[in-house]
Amino acid sequence: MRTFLLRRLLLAVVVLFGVSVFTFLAARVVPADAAAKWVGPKATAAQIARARIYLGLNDPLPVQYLRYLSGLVRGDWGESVVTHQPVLGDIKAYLPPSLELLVLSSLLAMAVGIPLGILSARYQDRIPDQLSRLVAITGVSVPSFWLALLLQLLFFQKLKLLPVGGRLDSVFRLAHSVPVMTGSYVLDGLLAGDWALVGSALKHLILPAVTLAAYPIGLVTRMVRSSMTEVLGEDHIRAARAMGIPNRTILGRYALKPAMGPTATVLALSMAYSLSGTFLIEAVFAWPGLGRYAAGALIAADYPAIMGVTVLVAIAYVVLNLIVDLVHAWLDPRISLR
Amino acid sequence: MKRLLKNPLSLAGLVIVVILLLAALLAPVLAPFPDHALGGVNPVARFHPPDGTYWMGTDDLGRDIFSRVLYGARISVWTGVLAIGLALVLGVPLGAVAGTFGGAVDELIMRITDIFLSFPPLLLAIAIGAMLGPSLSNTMIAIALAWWPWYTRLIRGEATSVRERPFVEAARAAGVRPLVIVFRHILPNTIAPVIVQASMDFGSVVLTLASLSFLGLGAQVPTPEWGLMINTGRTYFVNAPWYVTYPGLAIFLTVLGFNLLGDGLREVLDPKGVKRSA
Repeated sequence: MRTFLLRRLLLAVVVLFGVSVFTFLAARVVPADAAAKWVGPKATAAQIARARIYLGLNDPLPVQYLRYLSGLVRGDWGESVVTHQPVLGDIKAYLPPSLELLVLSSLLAMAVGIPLGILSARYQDRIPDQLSRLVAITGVSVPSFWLALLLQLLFFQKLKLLPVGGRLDSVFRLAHSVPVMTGSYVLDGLLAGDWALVGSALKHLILPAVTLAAYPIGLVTRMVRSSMTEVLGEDHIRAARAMGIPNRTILGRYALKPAMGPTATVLALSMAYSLSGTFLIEAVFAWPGLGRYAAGALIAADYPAIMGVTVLVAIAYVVLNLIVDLVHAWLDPRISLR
Repeated sequence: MKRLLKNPLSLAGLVIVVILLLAALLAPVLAPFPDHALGGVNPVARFHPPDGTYWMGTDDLGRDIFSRVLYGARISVWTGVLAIGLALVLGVPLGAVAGTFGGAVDELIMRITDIFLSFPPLLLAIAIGAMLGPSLSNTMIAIALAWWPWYTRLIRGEATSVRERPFVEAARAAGVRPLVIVFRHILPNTIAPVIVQASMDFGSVVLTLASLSFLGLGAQVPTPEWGLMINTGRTYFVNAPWYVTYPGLAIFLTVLGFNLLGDGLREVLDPKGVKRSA
């Protein structure tokens, strides 16, 4: 177990090192005109030369890299070329709305995906299985940005049931003082007992959360189905059947539990995946989160901002992976022996 | 094959894929207004709703969306094939070398794949695409760079088992040079599962491609690329909903078709479990 732990931690360090090299090259070296970009289109040659010195672009690459790396560790992630604000500060400001969205969509993915997966495994190759597979494959096939627009057309334009975008009604926001605590309006509203705030926030969350959940719903359904069908084919299940243990108990107690490990993995990783999925849909829903920030940075070719978000998502991915592996090894000691 | 086609979902997938390939192949013949997909504009019929002349309506420049969607199929299929091909060219030899030789080479190549696999593929493609600058061919390269480690991993696993087989030992004993062993003896015996995997990945590749174009990184105007069409059309979606609906439907059906087929294929080849998510 000790060696496994060390090996796994070492791997995470190697990977993060690679991430830093990659983003360094992408943000500082590849853009030919980083200094020109910094001072803007109307700058003089002298201003560009000053910017080169300010940004340290005249130093040898290893020196630049070390400075970049130590900045990453110290929390200095560079400044946005567009706003000239520190990237890490921007990320901190835009992250909470995205997290709120992520958490809700992950809950949705579990609430829909796990029952569908169980249904599939229970009725393998029969109609319920085919239907739930169709739902799962549809979930991973539908372009999220298109689904977002279709949902807006249906629920905002045609049915007039839900708002088209934003986090709160604009009139409500003007008339209402919004408490600032966690950064999630739903949580803040619950903590403050402000039900009007919770209601307005939830109404705005529904469409983006459903859109973002489509992909993980598909993943979770498939994972639950495949791990459960595998377990259901094993001898101890046959033995349980032969002993006359009711099907419900077999499914719920013997087959679902071993399927939860892989499902948790998929869910954890799909959360990190959804974080990049927000790039595609937050702009559509005018959701003031990290995804819209990143999409805006892409259009402006704001490399420090793009690579800041990239570093963040990569760290989240590595850390989630690490946690999932460690939990697995703890639950199933055989893994650490491999 | 028989088992594959007995499943209604796989069959539906196959039908969709065949229709897509036909549309891509026959676009110049089928499109009622081929010049609308090739840069021409038609200002007299801006935002014309779908009818007998313009089956899917027209866009902000009066161009026939049906014709553009058909030509879009060509772009998606062609770019997707090239992107996966490039990923294979990068990933397969590296994986075969890692699996055959083992040791330090193996360790180095595998740690590099670890780094690439530590990004969600969409994010990696976006970051590389942003670095290379917006264009369709850069998107293709970005996707290939995001995808190759999967194939390296897969073929490495196959190669480690094939290298123990008697014919490889025989070649080694006969003094065949190591690289010749890799390319003549190991590769041909490990490539099949990779080809299957690559064809199953096609749906995700098309989706990633459209996503990058939607973000403004991929194809540029006036290319009739599906993701780009949605990005342009979304400004007008309240008054001209057909503008975003049909290109999106084309992406969705294409990805769905390949995923349905791929899922069926996976089920037939490996009935026990799903190895990798879409």
